[in-house]
Amino acid sequence: MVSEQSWWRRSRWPLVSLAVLVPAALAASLSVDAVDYLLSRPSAVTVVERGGAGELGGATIRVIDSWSAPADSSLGESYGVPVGAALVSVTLELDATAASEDFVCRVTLLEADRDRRWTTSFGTDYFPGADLPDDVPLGCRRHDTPFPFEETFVIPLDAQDRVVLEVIDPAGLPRVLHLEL
Amino acid sequence: MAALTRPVRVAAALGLVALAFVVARTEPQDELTFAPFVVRVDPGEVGEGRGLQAVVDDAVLADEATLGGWTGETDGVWLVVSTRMATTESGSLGYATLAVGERQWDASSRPGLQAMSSALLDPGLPWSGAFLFELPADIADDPAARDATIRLAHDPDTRMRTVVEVGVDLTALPREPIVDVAPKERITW
Repeated sequence: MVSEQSWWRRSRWPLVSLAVLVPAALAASLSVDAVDYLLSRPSAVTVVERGGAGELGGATIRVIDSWSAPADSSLGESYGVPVGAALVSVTLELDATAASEDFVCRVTLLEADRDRRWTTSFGTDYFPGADLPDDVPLGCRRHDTPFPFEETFVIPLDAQDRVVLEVIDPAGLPRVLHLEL
Repeated sequence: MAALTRPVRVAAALGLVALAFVVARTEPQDELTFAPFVVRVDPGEVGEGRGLQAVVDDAVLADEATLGGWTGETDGVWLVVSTRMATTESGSLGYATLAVGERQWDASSRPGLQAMSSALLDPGLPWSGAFLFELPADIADDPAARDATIRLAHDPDTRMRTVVEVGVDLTALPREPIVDVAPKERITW
């Protein structure tokens, strides 16, 4: 018996299958790289208000002091801050006594709305950590007691009021702390 | 829609197979898929792309170059390229290459910390300084020297990254016996 149904009607289930399977195949092939990429990005942000403490990888970290010295200020001139820039100092207290033995974290200044980041800079005449204990680590790593450390950054003048301190535990990505200054 | 006849179905199938061949043959290869994002500009013009802002201000050939306390003697010739560079997102060293035809040179590390190749670029904090290329003495005799290319980048691996390109005619550049190169310094745009 010859069917009187149209080709579209007879082929509806294969066509529906194609409409579902083609996008699914594309999504599956692209997601292999996309998932790895997203997990490597600092995307799960916890904002810590000024004076508060944040927890990351079993460690607790907080800002205990911060200051800024623009190039055109007397402090900036004495530290040799480049024209158009500001020296930003952040002193933190890290309690990583409960963290794993290999705990380390990365600290950068972040201007979130323009996605600009600055790493620690030693490009001025200011020597960070001079007033801090000298028997503790100089940066963010595990130690048997809580300890302070100081990080300095040179950033453009137009960014100095819009930055937060981004703290990343590489093993804990995509989770990240944004400490307000 | 009327039922498709057998010849139409066969033709459609053959057409799809042919289309598959065309797609396979025209699929972008790795060098295109991962090609840098090239921003070609003229000397003195700011080239800007994701991650990098850069300018080539000047270029000169020299038999000898000095920079700070360093003196560069060579059996070849120095190409001194004055630039301004900054990153736009995160910190990185500055890199430069010179291409003459199929040949390519990296900027020399001999001049040391005062050269642009030692500048740590940061977002919004441009440096001014020079890259120095140590080239064969007869480089200007290469026919491709008329159409050489200076490439500035913020990573030696330029795959899928911004590269600012500036064309230069090496045969038209002045050649000085000695050039005193200015040390790199922070500037504002």
